[in-house]
Amino acid sequence: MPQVSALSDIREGFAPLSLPDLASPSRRLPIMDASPPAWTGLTRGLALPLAALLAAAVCRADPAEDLTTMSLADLAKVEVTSVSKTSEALQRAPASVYVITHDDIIRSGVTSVPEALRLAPNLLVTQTSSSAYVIAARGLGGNPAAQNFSNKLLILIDGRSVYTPLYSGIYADTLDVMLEDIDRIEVISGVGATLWGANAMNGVINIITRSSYLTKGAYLDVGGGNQQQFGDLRYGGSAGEDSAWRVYGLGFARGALQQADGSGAGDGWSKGQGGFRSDWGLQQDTLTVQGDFYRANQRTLDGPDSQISGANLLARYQHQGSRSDLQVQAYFDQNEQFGPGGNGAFVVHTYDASLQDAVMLGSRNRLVWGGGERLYSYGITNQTELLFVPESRSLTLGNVFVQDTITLSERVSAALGLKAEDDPFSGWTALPDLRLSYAPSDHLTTWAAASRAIRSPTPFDTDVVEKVGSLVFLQARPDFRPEQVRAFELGTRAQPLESLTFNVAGFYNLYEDLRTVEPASASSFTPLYWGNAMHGATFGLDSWASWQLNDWWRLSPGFSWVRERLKFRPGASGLLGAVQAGDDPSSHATLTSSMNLPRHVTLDATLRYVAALPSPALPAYTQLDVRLAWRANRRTEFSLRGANLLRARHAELPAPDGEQVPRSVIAEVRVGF
Amino acid sequence: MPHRRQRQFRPRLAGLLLALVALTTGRASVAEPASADAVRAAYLYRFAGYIAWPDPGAADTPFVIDVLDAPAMARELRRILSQHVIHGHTTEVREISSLRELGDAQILYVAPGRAQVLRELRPERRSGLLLVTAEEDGLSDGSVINFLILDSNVRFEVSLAAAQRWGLKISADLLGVAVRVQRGQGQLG
Repeated sequence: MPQVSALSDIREGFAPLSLPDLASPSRRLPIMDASPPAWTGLTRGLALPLAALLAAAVCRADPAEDLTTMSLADLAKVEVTSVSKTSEALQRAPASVYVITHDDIIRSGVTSVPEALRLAPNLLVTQTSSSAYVIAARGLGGNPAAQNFSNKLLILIDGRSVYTPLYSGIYADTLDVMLEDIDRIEVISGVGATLWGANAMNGVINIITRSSYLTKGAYLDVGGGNQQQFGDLRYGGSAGEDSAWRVYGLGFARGALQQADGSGAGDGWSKGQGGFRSDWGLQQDTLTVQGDFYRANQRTLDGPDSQISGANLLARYQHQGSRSDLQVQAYFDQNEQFGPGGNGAFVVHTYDASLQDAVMLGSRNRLVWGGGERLYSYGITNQTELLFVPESRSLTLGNVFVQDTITLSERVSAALGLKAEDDPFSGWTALPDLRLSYAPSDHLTTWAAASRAIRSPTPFDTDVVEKVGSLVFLQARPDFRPEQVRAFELGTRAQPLESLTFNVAGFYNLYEDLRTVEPASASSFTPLYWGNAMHGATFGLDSWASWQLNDWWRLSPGFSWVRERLKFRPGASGLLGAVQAGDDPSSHATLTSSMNLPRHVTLDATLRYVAALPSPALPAYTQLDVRLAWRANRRTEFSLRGANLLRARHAELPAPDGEQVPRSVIAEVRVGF
Repeated sequence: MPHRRQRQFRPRLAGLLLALVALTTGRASVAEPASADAVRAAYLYRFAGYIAWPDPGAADTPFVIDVLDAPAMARELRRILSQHVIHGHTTEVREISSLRELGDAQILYVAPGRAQVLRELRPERRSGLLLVTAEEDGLSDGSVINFLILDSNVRFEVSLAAAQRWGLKISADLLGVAVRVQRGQGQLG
């Protein structure tokens, strides 16, 4: 299961001093800047007194003046953005893509990647402990009470797949990235398997860090509050004309969540992490080498601590020719965990190599083809009641894919893709994808898509043995089949006004072979095994908008809605009910306000609503995060953030699977020099 | 536990709304993300301070920037330059749509996608022109300074060979900020 930071978050990445005091209202950019507005800001729940201060501080700034008085070096740090917040390329992408920009992250004041993912309206992020989160898109987010975990997303950090092969879920405590160095996070809801890779059944999360050319100099970020303390330090430089590098270190201690009575849940944790990135070449040929290592300690309520550690190293070469773009990448990743008292320890080694090439064929066809091979090698120290048999394996996951994007006319294009994936348990599978897009103007794109994706079986599905005392309660079987989806999507993205953009996508997903729990036979209940006896449909929509009310205030609403109509196949046990596939809220919504106030003050607030969970039941909740920041000068920013301000504590998943997230406040200073 | 949440938070939410209203009634003037053109225009203005032209021109003649096919850039430049002088000269921004209209400009800015027109330009006939482009292969088309978007920042690269061809001297301070400096290897350099 996922995990990560506390609700108590606060922090932020830091746009190395991207100024909030820029020129006049920006226009649509003639370029590819997938990024955003230059702001930062946040406040706390007690907006009133602060607001009074702010109102008193109102003054005039001459934005045009600011740019021309900046040095060349400072200009190089100005973030450029369009009101639409999407790059031109994205504006036309025939998929439901939300981009969390660097500045969105900084301005929200979040302090961890899972918290940053809450900024994407098409994701549902649920905190269950100080270090654990459930992340899901378009429903079927799992139901821990039924041992069904959110396992239908692909998550990548700079091209490195970080969902765990053990059960296809996400260990949120392994996701840390120095937030200041994140360029953007692309969140694709819907099937993304053909281009992005394995497990992209309901969505893809693509975390992309900045080139080291853009992170030169020193950066220090420290913060502390009632739920956490942290410090981030980075230093970057260049070596010669055509290369740059950075090194960083970060550490944090996050407090425990709470139990319903307000007492501590005992699950606090701390982590230290370091890493580097170096880039050579800027234009046609570039080489990137990067790596990270970390170690964390997680407390438990009454038992001994558990530890996690990991390291990774990645190299990527890219060549941009006039007619082709080639990318070759290889990485190694190690993730280790030692459960309380040494129980339930595991180590996973991942080796991955891939190649991708994009070529223009004539003037109308852009062909992307490639392939890759991944080797997972893991070993598990079994606990007495939860065993993997065998305890260790080496598994390979291979794929080849091709996608042709055909420009049928200036306004209409089609993308036909096919990936063949070879997984260790079920062999080769075909994953086709067809997309049509129609862009009657630069401000309107409509698309339709049909695709097929699978969630490959994992050791948890095929190898697990669970015992109660000496009774074998559940014994997984090797013939577990992949869970499958045929997905249909219709979406539109538009910019009806210069100041307004929106994106709406409706989906209809047909699932087959979803995992169920079945009794051993008609005469014997145990051992249970994982069957594939559920199927059915989910449908719903993802939507969001961005409305620039004026040159200093932006409002961004988001709303997602899903209905699930799942049933058991004839002869199935029906144990645990259809809700085992996902204890999902029928809707969730966010409203984010971003303000650039005078005197380099920014105020950002996000109100979020999550509807009730069906079973185990949890009432709907609404929460508010606010951050107020003041950029004292080009180098320094002070901020205050309050998270989950509306209640002393709230649960996002009912006990015992979820703890209560307390209200938290944090103060932070960011310095770049 | 989660019930009663709404009731509890109403007063605080009302507080926040009040605060917002208080703020919006102020004369807030703020900032917003820059457009790439605004940043490029600011760069152009700043570049002038780091570059020596061979012929400074008479004091009463304006410093001219010709802008080829980039009306938004011309607008930004005019807005910025209306309040500034360059090397003691007043400034003039002219929009042109072909190189035939190129006058006595000190700077020629070429819209993204049009850099190949620079291949027709010959420094022998007219030196002292700073060529600026904003596209991937700008320098190979002969530009002196080429803007790039790297991640979400506007950066630039410089061809010293081209600068030399056009008789321009560029200070090391400017080169230090460039993301890449192409030296030598020019046809004449």
